[in-house]
Amino acid sequence: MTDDGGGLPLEDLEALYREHYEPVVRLAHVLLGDRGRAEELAQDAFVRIAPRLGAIENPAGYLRTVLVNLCRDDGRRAARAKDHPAPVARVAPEPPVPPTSTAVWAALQSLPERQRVAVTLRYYLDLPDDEIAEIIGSRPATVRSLVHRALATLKEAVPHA
Amino acid sequence: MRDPVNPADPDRTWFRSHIEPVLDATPADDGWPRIAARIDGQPIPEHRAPTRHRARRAAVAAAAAVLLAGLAMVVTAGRGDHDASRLTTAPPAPTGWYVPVGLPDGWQLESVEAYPGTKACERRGAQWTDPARDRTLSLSFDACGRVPTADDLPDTSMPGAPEDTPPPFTLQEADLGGGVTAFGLRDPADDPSIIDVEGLSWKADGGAWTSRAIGLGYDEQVAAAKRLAADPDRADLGIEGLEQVERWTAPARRTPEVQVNLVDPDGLRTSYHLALPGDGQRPGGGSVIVPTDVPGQSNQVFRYDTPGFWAGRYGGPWQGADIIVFRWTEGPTDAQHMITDAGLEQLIGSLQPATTEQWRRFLATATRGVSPVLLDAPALGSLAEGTFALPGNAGGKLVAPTTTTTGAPVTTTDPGPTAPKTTSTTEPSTSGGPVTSGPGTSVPNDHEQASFTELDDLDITLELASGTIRAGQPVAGTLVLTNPTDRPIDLTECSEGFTSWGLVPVDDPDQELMSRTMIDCYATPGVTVPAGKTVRYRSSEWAPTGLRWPFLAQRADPRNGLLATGVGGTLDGGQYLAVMEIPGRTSTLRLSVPVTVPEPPCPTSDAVVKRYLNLTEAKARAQAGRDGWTFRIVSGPRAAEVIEQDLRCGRINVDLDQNGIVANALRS
Repeated sequence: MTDDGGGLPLEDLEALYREHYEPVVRLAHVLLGDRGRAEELAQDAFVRIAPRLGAIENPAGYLRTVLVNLCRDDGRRAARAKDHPAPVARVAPEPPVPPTSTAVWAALQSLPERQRVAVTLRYYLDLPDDEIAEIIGSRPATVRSLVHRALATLKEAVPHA
Repeated sequence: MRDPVNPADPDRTWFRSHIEPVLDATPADDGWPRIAARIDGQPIPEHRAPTRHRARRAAVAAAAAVLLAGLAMVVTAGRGDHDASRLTTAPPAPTGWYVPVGLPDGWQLESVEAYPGTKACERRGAQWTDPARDRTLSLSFDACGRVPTADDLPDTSMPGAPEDTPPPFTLQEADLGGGVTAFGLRDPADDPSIIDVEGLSWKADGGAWTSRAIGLGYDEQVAAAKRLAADPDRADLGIEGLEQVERWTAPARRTPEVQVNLVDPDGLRTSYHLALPGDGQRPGGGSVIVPTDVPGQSNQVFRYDTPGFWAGRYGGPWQGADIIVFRWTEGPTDAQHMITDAGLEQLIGSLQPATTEQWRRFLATATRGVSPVLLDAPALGSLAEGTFALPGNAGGKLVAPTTTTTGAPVTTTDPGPTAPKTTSTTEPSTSGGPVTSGPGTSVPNDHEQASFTELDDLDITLELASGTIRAGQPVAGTLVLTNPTDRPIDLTECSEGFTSWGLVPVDDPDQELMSRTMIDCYATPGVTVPAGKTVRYRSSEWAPTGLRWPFLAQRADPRNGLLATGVGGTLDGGQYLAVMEIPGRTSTLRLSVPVTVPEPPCPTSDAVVKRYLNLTEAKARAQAGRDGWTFRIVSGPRAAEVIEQDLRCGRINVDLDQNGIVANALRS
């Protein structure tokens, strides 16, 4: 597959997929708390970047940004649909998972969206504050505050953490 | 700054140690076949990974299937096995029709009206709102849109304007980066409320993007525009607290609309509108869209909290149609005269998708009639095609819903007058019924205006809904455009050409009219009259905003015809001519209709009106307090009908434009 709008041959996209699909699904899973939806949005992200892949300097970074935006958008829709309680899918995952992980996971999914995104980008993607700030539209100082509050809440979910 | 992250950071280690086990427990399926199929436009393979999410969605889908089955049970003969008893349920193809199901006794369908809409180019947009609902930003794209230029500024050299009259707006430029410049019309008095509502527009993607905001400072709006110019699809606006609540798209096409008028058990009127996806009316930039759970309704429903009075209250982008439930007033905008939110929620909660046959059965219950085209249109989308804009199809004249044979004579059941009465004498009408102009007079232009329509090719008359125009009770007008030629004709008057209309005393017919943009190039590309056909062009379509530009029993200020409402105080009672002047390529057509203006019970001076014009609602309220009057909003953004005002001398009634700015104010 090629196109004249900056896309790459399908095999190049597939190469990107092979390298990054699992990580972006996991990232979406952390952000959404729903593995099935995470896979769908990860696939959406690949489809969206396909036409412009040839023109993107950092495809992996761009893919990640697209995915985070999709997840944030999707999360807000889900929250609105339920008048703000956590969506049904955001429940503890199936075993075998240590109880402390289950508790942290549940607490993570209950965090305000910006805190959840910030702490995930910080500690799961290892992004610097300024990049996180750019993605979520805040100042780096705000990011640090969000991460700090998120981490405090998560640790409260685990006794003696 | 803590960049970059230290891999040995104990917080990082702690976070990952708790999250990774969850992720490891659910490895991802291979998603490549689905991605490749989507990119190649091939059928998408089944997504196999079982998750709670999909299980939940499946349950919803099953519930929806049951619902649809209740609406459309299709009996099919078995193929080959001759199992004639086998029933299959087939969800109907989305027709875009929706009908109320299960409303309590007492609700009554009054009429169903179809409007052809206009030709529109591709559009899309989004809106962001904060939870406190005091800040909002809307973004819209129009492939045929344009950005403001210096030519859009009012010409203060127009006749009658003092020499030192300052322009009410200046052209503001903002550098959005990447070689993109945004333009906006800005109040030189630096009133933040005016800056906010005027918005910023920039050229990109072959059209024009426009952002409008309420509650945001100018710098904040420019910063948001920079981000949106770089990535108009971004969901995150980058402004703390603002979250995206809506994103919509609409392809280039006509924008037909169907209005279903109902009466509730208390006799209060309401209606719901059906428009093709993306075409539905939207509240202005000052509105807040609130996701709302409505009992009985599985489709997404939003409530529109709009400053002032915009009749649109609930709605949503549903399958096959954008829906808005409206409420109207029977007089004042108070609880005694308007259906409540609970009543509106009951209505929108009852709306269910319908097949063509179900829709037609529903139409057959209308007590006043339906627009003829609806009897034949199989789907909402068919109204955007071909011959919809036929005489009699565009609202107004209704036919008995039981008359379903195409081409058969129709019986008008509308209890009101079914055809406008032609007034060919100079005697004004005192009946209050519809009146129509003659063919008008044509005055040659000094210079040919090449971009304008040759009006001599069209037969044009002006209809007014009433021959009596009272203060505070605007009367709608309709241009009846007949094209006797064998080619379609576009009425191309645009923002560079100004149609004028208004009331002038019978004994002073040369009095200046206010210049107004009849076809607003920002929003409507014009009206096309097909060869050999007639199009009824209602005043509500002449311009999509403000007061719908009907005929008012108020003086006009010709200087402010473009950007401001330009209305003055109430006219004295007497005999007037309702006049419209349309500039054409080689001549200007003047149409006139005699009308009666009753003496206003409490005259309002020009000074009073101008004291309120262009104020925000809050400032207008404060002004009313200073004047010692009570304050009431009688119409708001994009109301499809002008509300009849309940006039009191001790109260100021204001109309708000689409941005929540006072467009008219009357004490009586």
